[in-house]
Amino acid sequence: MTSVPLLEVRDFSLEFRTRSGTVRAIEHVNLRLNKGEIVGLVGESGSGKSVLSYAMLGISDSAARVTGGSAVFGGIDLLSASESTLSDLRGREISMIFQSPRTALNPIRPVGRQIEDVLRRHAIATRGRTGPDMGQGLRERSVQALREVAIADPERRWSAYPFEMSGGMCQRVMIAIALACRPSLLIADEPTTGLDVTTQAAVMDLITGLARERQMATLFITHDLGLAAEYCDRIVVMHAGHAVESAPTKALFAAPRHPYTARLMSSTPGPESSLASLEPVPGQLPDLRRSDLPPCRFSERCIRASALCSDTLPLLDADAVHAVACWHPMEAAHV
Amino acid sequence: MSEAPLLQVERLSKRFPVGGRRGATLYAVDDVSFSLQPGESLGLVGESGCGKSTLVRLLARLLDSTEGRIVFDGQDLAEIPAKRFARHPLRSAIQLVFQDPTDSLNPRYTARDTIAEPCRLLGGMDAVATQARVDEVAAQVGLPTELLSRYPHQLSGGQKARVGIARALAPRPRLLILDEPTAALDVSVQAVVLQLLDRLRRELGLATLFVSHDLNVVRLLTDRVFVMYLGKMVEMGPSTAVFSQPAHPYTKALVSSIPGHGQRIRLDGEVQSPIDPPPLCRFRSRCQSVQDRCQREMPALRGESHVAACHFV
Repeated sequence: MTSVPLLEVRDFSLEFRTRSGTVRAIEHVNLRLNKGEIVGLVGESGSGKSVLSYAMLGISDSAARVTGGSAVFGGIDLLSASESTLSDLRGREISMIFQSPRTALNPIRPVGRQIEDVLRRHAIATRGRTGPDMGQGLRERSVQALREVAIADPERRWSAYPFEMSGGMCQRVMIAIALACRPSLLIADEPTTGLDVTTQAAVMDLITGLARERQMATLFITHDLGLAAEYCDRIVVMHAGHAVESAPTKALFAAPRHPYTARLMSSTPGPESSLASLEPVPGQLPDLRRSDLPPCRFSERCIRASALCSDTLPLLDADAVHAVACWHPMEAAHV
Repeated sequence: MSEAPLLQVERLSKRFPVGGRRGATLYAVDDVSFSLQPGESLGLVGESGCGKSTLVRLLARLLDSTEGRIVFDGQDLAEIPAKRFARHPLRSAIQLVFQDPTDSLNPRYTARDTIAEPCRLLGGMDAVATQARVDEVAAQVGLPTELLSRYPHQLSGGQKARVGIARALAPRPRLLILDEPTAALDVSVQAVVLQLLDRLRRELGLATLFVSHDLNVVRLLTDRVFVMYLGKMVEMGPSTAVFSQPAHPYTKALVSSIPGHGQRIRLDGEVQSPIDPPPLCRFRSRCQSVQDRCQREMPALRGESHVAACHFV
């Protein structure tokens, strides 16, 4: 790509200092998002995908320490930006959809008011700028935001409380809040966990449809490879705090190159698979507190591992189209 | 089928009174009938709020039904109040594996205590027999002996799932009800647990009722599948047939939303309220092929081995 990426994460490392030791949660992660691109960040629990996204927004746990790297968004390094800079960006330029809408929404505030809160906060921040939308009343704009996420009868729903809505409906409200200020980057952290398959499909269609329409870059965090395959342009696979593979979705599924990606695919039940064809990933995630973690954190679970893997860290080439962090990758696709 | 069914559910209903003085009624499970053969695996699918969990609680006899019969091995269990069923000899024959392996284990019990409890309470085994049984089921589910002295927080998600399965197997059940047993697990662990469940079912000849919203998983693990919508059975048939040729419009939409399926049927429209529903098809407000007749009468289940409740199948 010749254009400047919207978000460029370089060599990012983060650790948690806990009583039971230092957890090296993320190490040397490179990630790039272009304008309007939908990128899937896929990994199992404990792979660091949520930790990474929280760090982008500056909402990490207080035990977290960024130990290296940068995350440049629109000329600003998010990792070293001040809290006031970040809070001006959050909700306006970068928005997040959280995992469980019921706990993320304020239970004692009507949903319409919660949308107004975001609009009001950033209307103040943009005072002096003449945006086409800013003239309208807050109420009108928040009703419009509900309408855009396909909530039927938005005028009436405006004054509903979260408990009066279904899970899918609450997730739509979360999306309305996140998108109210038309951000250029959306981080969606497992937005459909706990929703039914039919609702999941509707919510994913809504998010990706709006993303395409508004040219909004989207980082879609999920553990579900099948879901990522259906909606993402590109997929980045994480394992134990490392980004192990990054490729356009089609190329990744045609020929995964990292042994972990390949195993993850063969352990996911798909429409064609049988019980016998499921191949679990051997072993477990290594304990990230260990001081003797091998450089390649998958090497202890990997059938292709050699002495090199426990000696030198394989790095992901951030500029390659199909990048893999492995010394012994699977064969590339014959294209 | 020549064999007598292990479980025969006849016109089972559960209605909850809601709304105080108006006396409104919520139809959680409405007139459901099906049977389960020994060793058979039945899948139960449907969206949240459709009554899956209520049905599971009725069958596991944790909840009293409003109407209908639950004939297990020739005996009508619906007549026995849930409170008394806890000490009934058939309690050990129907066991449940819960959704979240973390929430459903006692944090102050070691894995051994957890698995031993049903042996003691239901199996009437003495200490020696209990320990032997714990070791036996632990081996069956692939739980190494050295892990038995650990507490839940010292076990991984997959290990906790195994403890939950071992606990259910300990009193030698004939019907195992699995309520989303892998929903809280990562895919790599899920694959192992699914293979384990399938192997156990074959080895022990267990009948299983497998509740899940992951349709790919249901297809892999079940012989027949039961689709529920707002308390009603809308479709039931052999899993391969239901997934390859769904008959009911709701099942069609459900199957089409499996990721990677291709052509998706969108479900628009509001879900009908389960409170005092009129005797009409409950899917009519979201159905793409709705016609006048759907506004006039309730469709009955039609078909032989593959049934669907729709006027137009």
